[in-house]
Amino acid sequence: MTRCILKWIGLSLILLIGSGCAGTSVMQPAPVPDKPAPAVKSRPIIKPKTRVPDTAKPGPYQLETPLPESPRKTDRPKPKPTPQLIASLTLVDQARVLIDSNRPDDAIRLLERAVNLHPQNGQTYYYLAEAWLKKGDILQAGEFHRLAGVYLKYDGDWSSQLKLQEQKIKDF
Amino acid sequence: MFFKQTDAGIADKVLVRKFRYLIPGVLAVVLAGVAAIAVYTIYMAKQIDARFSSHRWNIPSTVYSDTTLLFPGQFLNLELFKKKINRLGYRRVSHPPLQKGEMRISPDRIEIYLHDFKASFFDAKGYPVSINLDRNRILSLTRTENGRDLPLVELEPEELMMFFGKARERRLVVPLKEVPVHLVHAVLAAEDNRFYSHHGVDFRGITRALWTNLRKLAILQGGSTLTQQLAKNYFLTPERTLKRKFNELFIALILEFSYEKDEILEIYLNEIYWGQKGSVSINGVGEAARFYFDKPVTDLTVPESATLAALIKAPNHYSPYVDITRCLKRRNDVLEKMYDNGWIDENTLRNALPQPVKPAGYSGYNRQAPYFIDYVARQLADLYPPDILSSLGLSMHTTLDTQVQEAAEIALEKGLLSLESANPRLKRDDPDKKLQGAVIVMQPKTGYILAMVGGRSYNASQFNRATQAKRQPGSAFKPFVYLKGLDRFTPVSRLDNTPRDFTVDGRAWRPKNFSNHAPATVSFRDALAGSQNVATVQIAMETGLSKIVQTGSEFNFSTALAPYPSMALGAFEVIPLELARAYCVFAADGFQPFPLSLKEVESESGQILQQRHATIRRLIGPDKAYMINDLLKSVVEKGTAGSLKHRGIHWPVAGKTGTTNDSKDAWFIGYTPDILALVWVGFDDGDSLNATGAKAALPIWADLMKAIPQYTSGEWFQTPSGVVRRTVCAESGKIAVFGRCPHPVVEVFLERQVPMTQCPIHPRLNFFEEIWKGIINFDPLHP
Repeated sequence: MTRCILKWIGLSLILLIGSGCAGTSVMQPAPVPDKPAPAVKSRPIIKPKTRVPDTAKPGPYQLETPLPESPRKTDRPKPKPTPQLIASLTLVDQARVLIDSNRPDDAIRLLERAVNLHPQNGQTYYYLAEAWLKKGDILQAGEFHRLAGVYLKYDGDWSSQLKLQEQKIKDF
Repeated sequence: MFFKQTDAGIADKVLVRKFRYLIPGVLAVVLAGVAAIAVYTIYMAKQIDARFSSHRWNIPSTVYSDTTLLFPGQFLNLELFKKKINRLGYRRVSHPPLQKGEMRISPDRIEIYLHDFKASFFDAKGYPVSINLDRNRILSLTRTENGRDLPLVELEPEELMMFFGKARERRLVVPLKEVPVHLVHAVLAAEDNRFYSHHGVDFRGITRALWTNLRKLAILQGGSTLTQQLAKNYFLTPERTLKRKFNELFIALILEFSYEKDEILEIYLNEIYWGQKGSVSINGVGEAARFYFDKPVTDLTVPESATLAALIKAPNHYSPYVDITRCLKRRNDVLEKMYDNGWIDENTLRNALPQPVKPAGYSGYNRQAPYFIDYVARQLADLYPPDILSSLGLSMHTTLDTQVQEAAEIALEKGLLSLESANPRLKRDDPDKKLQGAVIVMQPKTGYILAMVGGRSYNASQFNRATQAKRQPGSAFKPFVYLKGLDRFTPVSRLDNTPRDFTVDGRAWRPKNFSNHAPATVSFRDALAGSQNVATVQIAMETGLSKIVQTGSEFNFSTALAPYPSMALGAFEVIPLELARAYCVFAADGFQPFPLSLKEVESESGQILQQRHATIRRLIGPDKAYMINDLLKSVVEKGTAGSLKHRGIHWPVAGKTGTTNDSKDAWFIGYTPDILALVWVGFDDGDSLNATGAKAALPIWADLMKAIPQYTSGEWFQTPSGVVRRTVCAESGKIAVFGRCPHPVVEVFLERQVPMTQCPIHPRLNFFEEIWKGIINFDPLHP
């Protein structure tokens, strides 16, 4: 019995020391933003690697993970190539050609269909902004640019394109 | 003698005097007659010119649905899809489709030879395509001519409605150069084989007809030329008078004098009456070819051309839809006349004679989506007067998806019937007082109105409850209160839900929860999920009623919101379409679309007259929109709309029920990133339903969604920047302490509101407490 108690105390000590003692028992938030994580399972503890924003000053026991900043530093996972996405991208490709041929109205028509097929494909909104720019409608170009930003802002392939588009809209 | 001479002399003198006045008199009459004829000729010529040089025919404008996109991997509701291709005029054949408009359906594929369709945005020649299926999913799309896989197939739009004039004529104008020569010959053989030889009036023909009729003592032949028939059809009324016959001859001569033979023939082929489709007359060869053989004139065979020519004499008498044997006999007469005139050879005649007459079949006009059409027509009325709509042959392209429309209509009717059978008190004999409903389906990012049902029966009531009704939203308004509440609360904020008085301007008001067993305190998330009234009013009061009024105006509710606490519970009126549009903001990352129904108006020649695109405006940040989406997902997962999962909705959905005082209105608004649908159920006179939104409106929504699998990708909203997840203690709402908090939950937070402190209710134990806890909780069997 005594051996068991001692064994348990020892184990507790090792665990407490090993985990850094102070406040390390805070639960880890789910790292994947799209799906809620299992509610009660503990996860390995990660020390913050990035600056926590000023608005979110940590409390005395705060050892939160760097979720607020982490998605900004890395590319977001690309959307899965679902049939809807593939069909939507086919239309986006066709629309791109129409924009280049100075046929923005035809391009918009295709892009709207692309939105209906896959509303979370940010490229569609990027090209909608381009088409509206061609039409000279700065307001709609700006709105679709902002909507494109929701999906593409942290996409490594698109973030620079978005910045260029933003500049184009500003220069218009 | 004298007298005789005198008499003769007088008579001569009188005669001379008479002649002296007669000749100039006759001359004057002749001149006057010539002048009158000249004036009349000029007048008629001007009239003819005016008619011919301006728009020649009244062509009704047509309202079309949206086109339909098919792609590999897409799920279909096969029943609705087959109905759609039937409505598009595809006819079933047992062999592989060889001609445009044919289709063959087997369990694992639908083969269609697509129609040609031309519009400003859609110009496609028909081709054969195979839609290869794995049950209700498209495995692949193959162009059957060459076996090539296709990434997308776009089906032509459906004709929804035509704006007919008083004449209710349908006509598809075709230029003469597109009319095959054998069709021209068939028409000439049947009606006027000397057309190119006479000058409008064929005296030889008249004599021959007269002789034949006299011999047989019956009117068997008419001597009218094509030009006379045209004059009769185009300019004159149908009465049988001498004056009319004179005018007919006169106009025929003027026509021949003024126009080339080919011009007259072209006008004739496009003008004349060719039969009847319900209450609408089929005019012109283009429309006749489509009506009788479902093909363009260019594709007509010799026997088909002879059939059309055979009908001209008496279209309804010889119609293949009326008497196929009589039609066949008359067609063969025409074929033989063609042969007699040397326009077909013996071989062609021998091949053509035994061929049966095979009309394509047709379905009568069935007005689709009548409430939606009314909604569009009201917009068109601002653009064009009725005479333009019924004469200029405009094409109006809309956003309607006929499959969604049909699914919505079926779901609404089924839902209302089911409510009535469950509660006979809801049944009404008077059609004006029956239980009613409305459904609006939108694509939230583009604002496309995919379907609109404004009532149970358009015939019984044309009042569009989707766009014209003003009803209280009840709890369906709560998400807008919670949206504003996000500035002060987080999803785990604890709220007091005990019934109590709220005082505004010195007046106390005591809201009640729906259930008497509502929890005394509740989290922000659970308050919305369970549609708790008292907690919601608390949020509204703490947020500020004026801010919620402001939200109403920002979200484009046209009805007035007053800053009373009851407003938080939806005690004011909204128009259902405006409520649906307001919810689109959540489903569209914070951007509000303009509700779009009419996309394009095109002239008869294909010129775009009006074009409307999807336009959006950002109202809230994507982070807040996501927060509301996540909160409304809880309504479906564990709240008032929890029954949705028992109704076969297994994919993530955000939604909100709504029930007003005395159950006068029942609402359910549900959405995914792909689609948003609003369902309202109630009585026009405000009688009680005795049912909640979850009982009355939600089942309709579920049935609708299950019927349109092409719009349910199963995807959920992507988490935008500015939203983070944290594991928090369900009791305190603070960061959960591992091993201490008994109910840790993963919760979403606006980045700026993320909790920073650990749970105070279950604090971390110090070293000795940990040891002591270990000792007292020690289980010797599981050390």
